[in-house]
Amino acid sequence: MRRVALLAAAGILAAVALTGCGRLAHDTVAPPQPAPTVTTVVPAPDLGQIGSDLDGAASAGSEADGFLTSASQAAATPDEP
Amino acid sequence: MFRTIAAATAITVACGLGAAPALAAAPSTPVADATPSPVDKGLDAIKAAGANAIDRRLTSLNTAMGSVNNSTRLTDSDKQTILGTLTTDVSGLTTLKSTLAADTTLAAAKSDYQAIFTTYRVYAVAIPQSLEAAAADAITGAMPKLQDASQRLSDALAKSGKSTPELQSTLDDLNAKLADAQSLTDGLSAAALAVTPSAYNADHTVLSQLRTKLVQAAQDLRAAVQDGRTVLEALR
Repeated sequence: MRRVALLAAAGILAAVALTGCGRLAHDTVAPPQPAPTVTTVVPAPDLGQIGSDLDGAASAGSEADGFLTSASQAAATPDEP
Repeated sequence: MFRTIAAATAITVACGLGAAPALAAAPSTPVADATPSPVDKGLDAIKAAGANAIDRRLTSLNTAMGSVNNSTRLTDSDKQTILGTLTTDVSGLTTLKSTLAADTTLAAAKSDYQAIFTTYRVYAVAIPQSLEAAAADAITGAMPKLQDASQRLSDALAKSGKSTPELQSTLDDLNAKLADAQSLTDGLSAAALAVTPSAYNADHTVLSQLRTKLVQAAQDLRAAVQDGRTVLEALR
């Protein structure tokens, strides 16, 4: 009876070794894997877009100048005493 | 649509509001109804001069209304305000033209003739205030992208390793010019559009004071753009 019990216990241990618990035990002794490298992608500044925005502002400024010149001319019309 | 052609004359530049034809009808040289004053002449002369002055203004106003409708710089709110003023002026001047034509006394004709100017102020107020509002809207409309460009230039400069004290100073100047332009134009469009012929009659400088601020704001904008281009060139 005692022998049967010992054999059963040995069988259980062998089964555990072949299943998840066994793999877990195996993994814990394996050399640590290197952590995956996380690469942060920093977008390059869109210099072309910045240039375009500056051009747009310059255009608005030119138009503003034109409006102001015209406003001065209209206001200088001499038949508005 | 209102791109300015560099070689264009100032009047052509006024196409920005679409006011070029309007201003073409608003002569920049003395006109017949200015000197000598027709009010010193007879009834028929006053009527003729008045009809002439009103027609010129109606042409200018109608042209300006079309241009305001097509403007890409004016805010919708300012467009509506301007169109309201211009439409009211067209209606009033059209009525005044009929009234003047029907006048039978010299005194009535003189009074109606003077009203062309003092009541409506098409060239002294209506059109200039529209143009000033357009200028203010053009400048303020350009500010957000310019501020954004400044931030991106600052970021790019920091990451590039190309920053120098001179470039940082240029960037600081860009931001200072933007802040100045923003301060100068704050509420200016509304202030220009709030000017009435009565206000002008009481103070002929009421619009030119605003125009002085706008000229400075436009200079600030140009300087800010130049600063931005300097930094951008260094990054390339």
